[in-house]
Amino acid sequence: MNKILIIIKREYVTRVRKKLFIITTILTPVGFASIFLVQMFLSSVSNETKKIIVADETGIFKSKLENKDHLEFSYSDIKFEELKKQFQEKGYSGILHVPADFNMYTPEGIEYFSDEQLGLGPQSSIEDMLTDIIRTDKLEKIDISPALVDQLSKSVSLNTIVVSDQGEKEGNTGLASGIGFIMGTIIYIVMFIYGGMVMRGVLEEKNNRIAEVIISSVKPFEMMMGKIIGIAMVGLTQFVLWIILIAGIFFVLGSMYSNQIQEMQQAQQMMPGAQMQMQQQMGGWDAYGKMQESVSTINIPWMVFIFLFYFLGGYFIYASLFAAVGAATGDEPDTSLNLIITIPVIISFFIMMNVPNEPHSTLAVFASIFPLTSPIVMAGRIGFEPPMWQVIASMVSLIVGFILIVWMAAKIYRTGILMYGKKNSLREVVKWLFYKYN
Amino acid sequence: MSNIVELKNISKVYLKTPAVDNVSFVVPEQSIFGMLGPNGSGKTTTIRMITSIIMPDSGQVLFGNEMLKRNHTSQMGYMPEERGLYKKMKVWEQLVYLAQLKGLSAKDAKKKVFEWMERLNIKDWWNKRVEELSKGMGQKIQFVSTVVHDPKLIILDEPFSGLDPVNADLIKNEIMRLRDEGATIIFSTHRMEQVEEICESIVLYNKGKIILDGKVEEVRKRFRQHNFSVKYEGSAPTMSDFRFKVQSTTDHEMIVKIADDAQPKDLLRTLINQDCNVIGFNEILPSLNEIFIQQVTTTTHE
Repeated sequence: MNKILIIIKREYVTRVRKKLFIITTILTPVGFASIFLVQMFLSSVSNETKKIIVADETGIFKSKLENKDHLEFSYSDIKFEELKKQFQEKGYSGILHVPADFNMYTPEGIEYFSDEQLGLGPQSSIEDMLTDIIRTDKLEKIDISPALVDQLSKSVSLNTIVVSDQGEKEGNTGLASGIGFIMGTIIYIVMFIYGGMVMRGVLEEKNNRIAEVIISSVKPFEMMMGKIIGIAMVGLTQFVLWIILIAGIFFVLGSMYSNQIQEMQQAQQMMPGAQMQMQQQMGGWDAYGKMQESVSTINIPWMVFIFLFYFLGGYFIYASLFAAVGAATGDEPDTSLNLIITIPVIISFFIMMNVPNEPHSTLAVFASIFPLTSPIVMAGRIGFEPPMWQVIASMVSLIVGFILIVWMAAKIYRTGILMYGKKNSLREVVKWLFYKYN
Repeated sequence: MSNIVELKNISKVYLKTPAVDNVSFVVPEQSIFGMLGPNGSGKTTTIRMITSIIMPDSGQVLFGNEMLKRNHTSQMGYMPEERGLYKKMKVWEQLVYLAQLKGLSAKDAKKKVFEWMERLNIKDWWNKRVEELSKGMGQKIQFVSTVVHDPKLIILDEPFSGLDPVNADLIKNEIMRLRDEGATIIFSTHRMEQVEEICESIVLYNKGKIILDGKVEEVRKRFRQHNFSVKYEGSAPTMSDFRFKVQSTTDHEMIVKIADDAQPKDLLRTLINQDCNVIGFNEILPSLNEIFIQQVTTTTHE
């Protein structure tokens, strides 16, 4: 038992000390944060309000365009040709020209003149506004009042309620699928990154021939599990560091942001023009508050437990399979054996992607119980609150599958790690399962 | 003297081909024991069964006077033919790690590792990575990793391959010293001159079977050709007696084969009767190499 600890320690320490590990651990959160910062920066840059002068020769749109989305409209009676020469001097960024022959039943010919591109966002909000105005106009012409239009165009949103023994509670499909998707994706990535790390480690020991030295001191099973556990701890260390770093970065950013809000509140008292902007900002915070509210409907300890259970279960199953493949192949990795492992992982990822559409389809239920696919699929489904019997069946089958697969992998590992110089076909590898050693 | 290892009728079959077929031998304590044989003759498989890397299909392995158990391996040191070290690890960390796997505490392991590095003049490399070292240096490190935990039984597979004569001599002297201090060494090789020099007894493998075993001198006597070297001064003697056949004559040395019904003293008498000035007279025993080649080719052609 003591020896497995020595192996775990070596596997852990040699990896954590590597430059690449330190760099990726630090740079990944920094990368995320800088993407976030760049977005914040970009949105603050585009906060600049565009002043647009409207040369409406028909009068249809006069005073009807709303000042929003950083667009400000003013109206002019000056001839369009004149305006074209002066608008820049007057401080406008563009002219919205509605020609005199504009017909609202064949709405073509409206132009925007500027010295720079308008951008997709402003363009579509202007288009929407124009469409809206024309539609209201047309409806009024057939005696439908704007109030009636408003009533007719109300859209419906569904509140999903989940009925269970504990009573009814409001479900949250969007958030559930989001969290499930993130958990499933993390498990998917972990299987490949850290499972691959296990395989490379086994290949190194086999190709180095150090495996034989070590196996003369410890059992092959201890050697394999030591490596798998050591690398699992490397992964957990990396995740914990990422969480701490990301939380730290967002804490710093958050305090910077709240300073900004305070400044804005002060500015608001001084000049009323800032109010509009302020409201927009607060709208964002409102959404944030709503999200927090729905997060509180989620049982966080349960989610964390589920995540860790499937994270570790999935990792151990696939890491031991990768170890077995590493031992069975040799100097050159065998693609056909590799595929046997990667196919179920990829299939389960695709099943998980479809879970939000049909969380309780037969395929999803089966895949969330079958141990080779359940780590990813069940993590994806858990937000949709599958029946308890399915969760228990999935967990039991994962544990049974784990024991079975580790046992099989250990047998393959034990035979393969000492076989040199020849490629082993799948049939031979299967035979190793039935070797007797004692 | 008691035996440290005893193999009783062990066999091991790999995918229907017998790798080791009904092999028995004993290794006396505090001796240097040679396992000889061509490649693929079953030496490595036997060693793996002694180090309990694999189990025999049938037969027994005794260590000391007990049935071999896994925890006996902490009293063994094994250097495989294919050397293996972690390329990216520092020399000292690697040695301490391997010593710990043999059951030494971290503190003891460190102390022993540095003692050994000093003894083999490799102390300057303690903080280097293995990939920075030459093959010979790596070999010495591997040797340290094999003996650092004071094993009772040391198994060396081709320990001198890749070493220059100076370092080969250094390792040879260490092997002798370890034997004198109480260790037993099993030595697997196909380099016969080394075996003759340092081994006390040998087994010769071919195709998974032992075709020859015993003490080195005994084995050579068993295959004696009754050839004698006669060194002399002055004129060459004449061999008119049909019982003495001259095999070759070189500068003041004659190789004479004595027939079965004659004795060495008969040859000496003939020489003295001729008034030959004999300055050297000794039997030429076949080298292990000759015996090895002869035995392996005859058993292979059977």
